[in-house]
Amino acid sequence: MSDEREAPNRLPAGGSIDRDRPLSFTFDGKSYSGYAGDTLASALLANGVVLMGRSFKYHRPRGLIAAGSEEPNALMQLEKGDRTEPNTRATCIELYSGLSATSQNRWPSLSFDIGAVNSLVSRFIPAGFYYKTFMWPASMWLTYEKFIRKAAGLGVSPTAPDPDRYENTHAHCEVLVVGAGPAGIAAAAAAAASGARVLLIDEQNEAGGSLLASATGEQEPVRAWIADAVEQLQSNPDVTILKRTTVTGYFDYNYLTALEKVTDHLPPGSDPVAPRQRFWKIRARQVVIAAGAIERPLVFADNDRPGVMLANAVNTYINRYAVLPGRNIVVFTNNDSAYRTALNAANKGAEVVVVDTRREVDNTLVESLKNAGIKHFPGHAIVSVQGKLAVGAVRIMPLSEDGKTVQGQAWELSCDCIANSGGWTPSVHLFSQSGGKLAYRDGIAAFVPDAATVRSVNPCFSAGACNGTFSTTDCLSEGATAGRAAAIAAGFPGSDVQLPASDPASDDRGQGDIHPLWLVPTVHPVGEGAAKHFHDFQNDVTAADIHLAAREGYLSVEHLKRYTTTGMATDQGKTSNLNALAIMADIRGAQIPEVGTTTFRPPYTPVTLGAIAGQETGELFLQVRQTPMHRWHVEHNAVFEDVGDWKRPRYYPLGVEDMHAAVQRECAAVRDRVGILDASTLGKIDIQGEDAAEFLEMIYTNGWKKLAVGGCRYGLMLNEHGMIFDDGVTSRLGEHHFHMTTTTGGAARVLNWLEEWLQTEWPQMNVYCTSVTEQWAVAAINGPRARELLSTLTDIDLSTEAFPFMTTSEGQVAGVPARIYRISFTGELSYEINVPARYGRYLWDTLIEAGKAFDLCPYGTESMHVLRAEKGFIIVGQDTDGTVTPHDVDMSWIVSDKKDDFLGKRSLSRLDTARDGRPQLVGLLTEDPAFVLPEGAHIVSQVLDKPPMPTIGHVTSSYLSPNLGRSIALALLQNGKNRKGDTVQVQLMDGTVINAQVSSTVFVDEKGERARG
Amino acid sequence: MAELNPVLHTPLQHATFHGAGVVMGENLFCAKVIVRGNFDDAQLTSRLSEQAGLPVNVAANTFVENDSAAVFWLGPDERMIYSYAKEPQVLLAELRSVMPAGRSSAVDVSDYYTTIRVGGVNARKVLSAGTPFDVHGSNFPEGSCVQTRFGTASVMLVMQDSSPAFDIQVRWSFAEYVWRYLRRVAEFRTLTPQS
Repeated sequence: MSDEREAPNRLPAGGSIDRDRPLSFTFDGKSYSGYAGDTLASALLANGVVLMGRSFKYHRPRGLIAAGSEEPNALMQLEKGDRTEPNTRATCIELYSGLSATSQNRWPSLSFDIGAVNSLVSRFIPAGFYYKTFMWPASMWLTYEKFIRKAAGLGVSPTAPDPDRYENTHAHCEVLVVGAGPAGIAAAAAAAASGARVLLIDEQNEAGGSLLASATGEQEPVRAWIADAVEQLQSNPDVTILKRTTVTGYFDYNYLTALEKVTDHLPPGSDPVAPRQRFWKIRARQVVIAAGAIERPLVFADNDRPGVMLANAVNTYINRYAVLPGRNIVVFTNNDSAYRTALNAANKGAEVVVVDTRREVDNTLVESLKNAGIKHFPGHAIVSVQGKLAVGAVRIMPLSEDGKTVQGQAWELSCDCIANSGGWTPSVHLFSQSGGKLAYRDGIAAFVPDAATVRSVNPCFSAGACNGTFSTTDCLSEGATAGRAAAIAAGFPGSDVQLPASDPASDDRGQGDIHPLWLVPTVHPVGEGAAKHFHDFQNDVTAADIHLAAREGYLSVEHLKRYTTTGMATDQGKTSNLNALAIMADIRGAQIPEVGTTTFRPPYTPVTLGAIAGQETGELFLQVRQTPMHRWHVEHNAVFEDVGDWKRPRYYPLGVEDMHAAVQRECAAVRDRVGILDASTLGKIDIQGEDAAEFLEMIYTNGWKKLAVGGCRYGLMLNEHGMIFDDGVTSRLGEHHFHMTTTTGGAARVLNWLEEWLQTEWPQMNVYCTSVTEQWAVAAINGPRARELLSTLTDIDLSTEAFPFMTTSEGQVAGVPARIYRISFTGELSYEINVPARYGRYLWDTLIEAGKAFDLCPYGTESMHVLRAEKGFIIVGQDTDGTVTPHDVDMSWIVSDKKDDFLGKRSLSRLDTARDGRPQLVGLLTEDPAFVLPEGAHIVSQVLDKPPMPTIGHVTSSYLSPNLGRSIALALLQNGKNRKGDTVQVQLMDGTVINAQVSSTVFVDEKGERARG
Repeated sequence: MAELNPVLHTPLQHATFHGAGVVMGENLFCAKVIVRGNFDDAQLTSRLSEQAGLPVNVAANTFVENDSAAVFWLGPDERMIYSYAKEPQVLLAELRSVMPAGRSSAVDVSDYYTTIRVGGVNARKVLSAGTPFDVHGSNFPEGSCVQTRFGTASVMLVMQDSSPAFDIQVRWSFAEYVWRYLRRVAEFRTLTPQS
């Protein structure tokens, strides 16, 4: 092997790496080589790199402890520039060619880090240090924070936009199986056999779970069975297997989310098709959680030195990645599972010593050590670890009977790796997120799901190690049972699967007989002496911190967590939580279940925000709604305004015109000649039925029964509180047929409103409402020459006698079927021409062409606003704000006093709505006619030196009117109705005050003759 | 009056897309009328069915179709009727003529909506990216239609055939958004699903 020289810890054979595909990569700028199938962690370890990071608070040197997603130490800044990603776990990064990683939280280098001074002063920065020290003066926190963040930081975020693409998608299945270890595969096989749609998800790049760490020859029948089962699942069209995918959250109604790393195992940007990651939103009828278990460390003195690893991680590196993490390995354990690591390491040539806190150990294990030439120290504990940047030796001493102290002969064992195991913690995260409760099981010294507490909205089963079942044989049968039960619960006939014959001799029994020792004593009491007992590596929390928390009264698990930050790092306490609870229980003299557990919250592992956004970025972030004439507007230089989701032309600048110049020109053109507006976005609702008129009588404030067929009428809608809610013109097309228009933004809201009343309150009414907003493209032509222009394109008699103001007519315009409404929002002679949307662009083009003879001017919403303000027409939502009644806007004329009832009527007689002096809509004319008041400016009752000044109203609309040659404004002013002619003061943002005279709201053509002409 | 030459536009101008295991295109415009009324009224349903050439009392979330027309269930008192042969006004007038005045409604929505046909081996994956609705054959067999969302657009999904081919009926103003959405998620895929 050509790379053996560079990779001192790589074993000559074995592992599931592909030795024919060497890959080069860099770490902290130095080049290394690994193989396809490696993780960044295994490749670094193969190269003898032990030091991989600095700790969060004390900047202590750290190395790998794990081989999976629970890794708290080896956090990397992956890649550079716009693709850089902080806090990635080296254990979860599959190696690819050219990978570039740097260590974090160190300066100037990983091996020499100035921040490590924190470690020397650590006794001055205990848990809660930040809260205690930086509280005074409170105003300084913002300053302190910058330094604290920098000193206690992790990696750095990219500053450039993410160049990668992401997808997010939905999935549905009858049975979701989380985890493709023995239990998960058996569950999937059983569920699939019954015909259920199965989704099988695993975070690794291959199925197998715990078996991926087993040595060649170990558990062969099970491995063969799994290989066969996976093959069958893969060929089943109703089964989807997602590898490299982590189920990150479990929400109500069996809605789960998962993150699939689609191309993260390839060089960035190298796949031109697939997204980088895919976020799955899953609805599962039943869930089988087979998430396995996580080994937890023993909490002993200086247990964070690089080279101190979890025993099963060492086993995984040996068997899966062909990496021997050390030549002299001390295995330190309180249970059986680490013996497998010891035997495997010895088998690969390592010098191994087993230090077991238990005095009594199963005889077959003792025999097997003896046969392998492994020294065994039962009833002993590691009391100190030598070496700073890497483990050099350990000192061990016999434990007292109760495990609280050490005494007797000490031994020093030189070693370069410590493989430790404090037992196995079932991965109950998802079960807990589903709302299920946990129960403590003494026999395995861990919390397991309490199956009796599965919530009915989240039907699920737990199987295998996550359920506290550690023997592989039992995992298989428990998985199969759960898969079968899940399929039955999902409505399928149960099917059995043939499992491999159980062989007690070769069965992996996991932790076997565990004697928990939650805190390993040393020669000093905890917290005294230089050594630290870490339980939470990522947040740098020690057993001494738990003692401190207890002394200060933070006894509750929720307080303990927040005070010490245990479990609050990105690893969510996967390796730390149970140790912390148990240590606290010991301090309190309580049982572990009495201390309780903290809440497990999603996500299980960090989720990229880009994946949650998925494809819905850029132009897909929010829909842009366009009218049939949209492209014409674009071609003619329109500046668009967002109205709801719609893009509406705001104005059409000519040449170098700014908005002001364009709007002045457009407004003048409408009053002097003729203008054209795309009014297609207006909400339109077709209302039919024999009770339609009666229905409108209830919906609107005014009368509708007497409206003649062909007539149009303006209406105001109020909500139950009597406040204006929408407005528009509704036309009677037939005895039982109306065409309602709404504001552009209110279309959906109004239709919901109508349906709600029809369906819940007035089901007896024969009324049907159907949205027709986009059926019709609408061109509104406004201005004194509108009639002349329209007459060139239609045979409809446009004379006022035949087609008066506020009526509608049907016919052909430009050769296509059209309905014309002679209504006006500008106060000018106006025709709103509706044609089927397919002819919208054609109608518009034809009008523009015919309009050349009339100097027709396209105008946008800004000019429309000015023109309607000149007429004092309100815009709902601008001149009203949900607290305004028709009387407040001087529209008492539209409120019928003849009708028995209409929506909002009762509220208009409430004391507050009926009182005098409410804010009422008025016109405002500034003393300086050139000054345009800012919208929102406050009208004040008393002028003071500086704001705030007492407010009696505010400006709602304000424009420069080209037709009046001066500024105009609308305002809501207390008691405005009675203040016409008064001078009021309007305060500006800079504190200056402008005088304005209160006027009528109608500034142009008070009698309304122009629209009728 | 000037020389007139009406030109018809559609929201997507009959765009097509081919690739990544997905075939898409905007369907030809057809006449569409929403009818509402009491579908428990045997007289109404028999007359409407006769007029439409298809039974209108279809089960919830299903549709029936022949060469010239289709009837979609939209709600207990609501159906969408397509005609592939008739002009919108003709279809509207014919349907109205058999419906009880004042106790029902028929509304021309021919131009309100367009439909996008999505087919190919990856069609379901492309749809699933945008809709939370389960489009698997076991839940959404041939002859089904459902009103749901795609991205942020309200749509009616129609299961045309299990080749598979789906129609997405979408509002005119949302058509371009939905089209671009479909294209983007289609482009995430190669012809062999799950590389």
